[in-house]
Amino acid sequence: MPEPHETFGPADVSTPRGFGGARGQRRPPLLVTAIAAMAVLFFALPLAGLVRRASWSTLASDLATPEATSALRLSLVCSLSATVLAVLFGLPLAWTLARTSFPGKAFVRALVLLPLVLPPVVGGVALLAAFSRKGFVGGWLFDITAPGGALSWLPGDGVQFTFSPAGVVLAETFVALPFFVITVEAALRSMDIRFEAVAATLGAGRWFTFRQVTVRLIGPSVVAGAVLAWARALGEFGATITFAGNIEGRTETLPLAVYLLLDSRPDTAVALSLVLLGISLTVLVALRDRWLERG
Amino acid sequence: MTLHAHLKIRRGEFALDVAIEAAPGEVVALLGPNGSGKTTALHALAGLVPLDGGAISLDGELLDDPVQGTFVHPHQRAVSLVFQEYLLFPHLSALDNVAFGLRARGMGRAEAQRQATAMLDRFGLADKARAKPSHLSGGQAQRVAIARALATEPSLLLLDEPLAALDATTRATVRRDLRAHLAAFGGVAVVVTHDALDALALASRVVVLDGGSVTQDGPIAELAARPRSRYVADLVGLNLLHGHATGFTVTVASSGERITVADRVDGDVYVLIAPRSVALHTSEPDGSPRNRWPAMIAGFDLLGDRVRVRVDGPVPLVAEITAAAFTTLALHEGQSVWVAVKATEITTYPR
Repeated sequence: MPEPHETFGPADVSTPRGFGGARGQRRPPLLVTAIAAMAVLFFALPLAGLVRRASWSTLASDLATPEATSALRLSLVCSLSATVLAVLFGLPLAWTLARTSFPGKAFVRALVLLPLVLPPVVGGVALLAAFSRKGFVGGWLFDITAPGGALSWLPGDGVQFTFSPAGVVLAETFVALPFFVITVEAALRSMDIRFEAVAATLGAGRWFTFRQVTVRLIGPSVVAGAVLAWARALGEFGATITFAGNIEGRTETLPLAVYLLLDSRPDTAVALSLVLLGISLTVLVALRDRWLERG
Repeated sequence: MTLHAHLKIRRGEFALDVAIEAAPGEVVALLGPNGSGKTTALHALAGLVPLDGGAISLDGELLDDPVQGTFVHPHQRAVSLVFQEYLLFPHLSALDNVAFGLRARGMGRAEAQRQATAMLDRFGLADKARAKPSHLSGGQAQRVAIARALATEPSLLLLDEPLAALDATTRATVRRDLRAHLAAFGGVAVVVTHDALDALALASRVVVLDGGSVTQDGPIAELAARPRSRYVADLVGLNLLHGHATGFTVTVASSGERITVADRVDGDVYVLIAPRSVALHTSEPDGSPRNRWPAMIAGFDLLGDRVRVRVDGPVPLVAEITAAAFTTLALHEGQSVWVAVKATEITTYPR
């Protein structure tokens, strides 16, 4: 039986294919090694500084302050909501980009991936222009949901994103969605689509095939994409503070709290930074099979 | 469960035009070299490739007819396809693979698993029910793939090179088992293969494809006795020539060489010569053989205690001689020899 198709997972790039074995390998040049070591220090020193700066004895009480706990809670709720939205909208979007062809597809993909490179603060300004009460979509949304509007039976007095947790979720989804789409689209492209043909000949309709075959085969990538999107949403700062503002308990997420507390209560700011650092490290370890080569 | 299919598909330069008719219980082999359109034909029957012309009907139900605008999607056809690499779902156990089609058709989990277990049992794989495909051998994976295809009780079973992915040692056993399973199957089975032995072992009828069209269609025995293409002649190991006959003489189309035959024939004919009827001599023979030509040895293959010698000349042929004769004559590549064939050893039939 031939080797099964490599349908997902990274290619093996751990060992460069070249001449000679371990014994034949020449020692790497000293200058290159030294510069590389400096680069590593450049990453390691700030982290070491953070750990050194932390006042470990008061860490628990720093994290228990009302401002810290509300930021933690808000960040968790908003980033998880943004992740759910990214999966719900990102899966059909990734599928469309991977499996269909339509005019202007390259443009659509560029649009979807733009937030990856766009300065987040610009994203925030753009979101304001569209979704604030004065924006062309936000104003209309407010009007139809405000008392007297067509959807006024909905709870609340008109939908408003600015200065509300909903705005935080929107800003976080805006920056996180591309991470999910790019990961899942790549998986859909490298998947052996003949499995879908097999499912069809066994009597499975498109929806059954999508749920039971496609999603299951690209499952690891869906999870990885969701974790990436969540990590990005959790750390979102620029778009959030620009679009949703900075109201304690409503829009002040962890990164915002870190920034604002840095002057008044630096110990709490450092404690919250350590929380974010811990989460980032956990994500990295969780995705190590994808990114980090062992050996 | 009768299949009427006339498949016409255009893909750039390549045009497929094949008619396949089959009765219930019949196993038809689609035999042909690589690129002859076998797999495309199979995919058209499954509905993975729509027809550009012709029509497919199964059990009186029209599945594809571009003129009428009918197209039944693959998942709504009573057709199962077993891919060459089997393509078992890697995330499902053998049991869940077999149960997949039943679940897809809305059957409850418990009942689907019960039927799938019975199916695996029939294929001698009851102990592998929980195994993931990566833990199955090639032969086991093939049986799971066929069990999966049969679980939905299709009217038409399609097998794409079912034995090609197996190594030589398991091949014979799996071929025998597959033959038994196909014999027990009540519907129509179409097997794509490029191996004459597989076709012989599995099918009752063979459709030979070359370059997208049918060159021959009939029972295996007829195919072997009266090959109508170089491809089939090579498969059954016979020399096939064609030419124009007048009386007892056939003028070979490729070289203009004349061959004397024992029976009176006229018109365009095929000339069939068994390799063991071809004699080789190191000098010009005299005696009864009516046909003799100078030739040059182009190569040889050892076949047990026999040697198949390919000779070039006005009539390129394969001669089969004993290994002993080969040694005694001290034959070697590039050597000039004389070829002789008795007229009574030559079969002719109209083109």
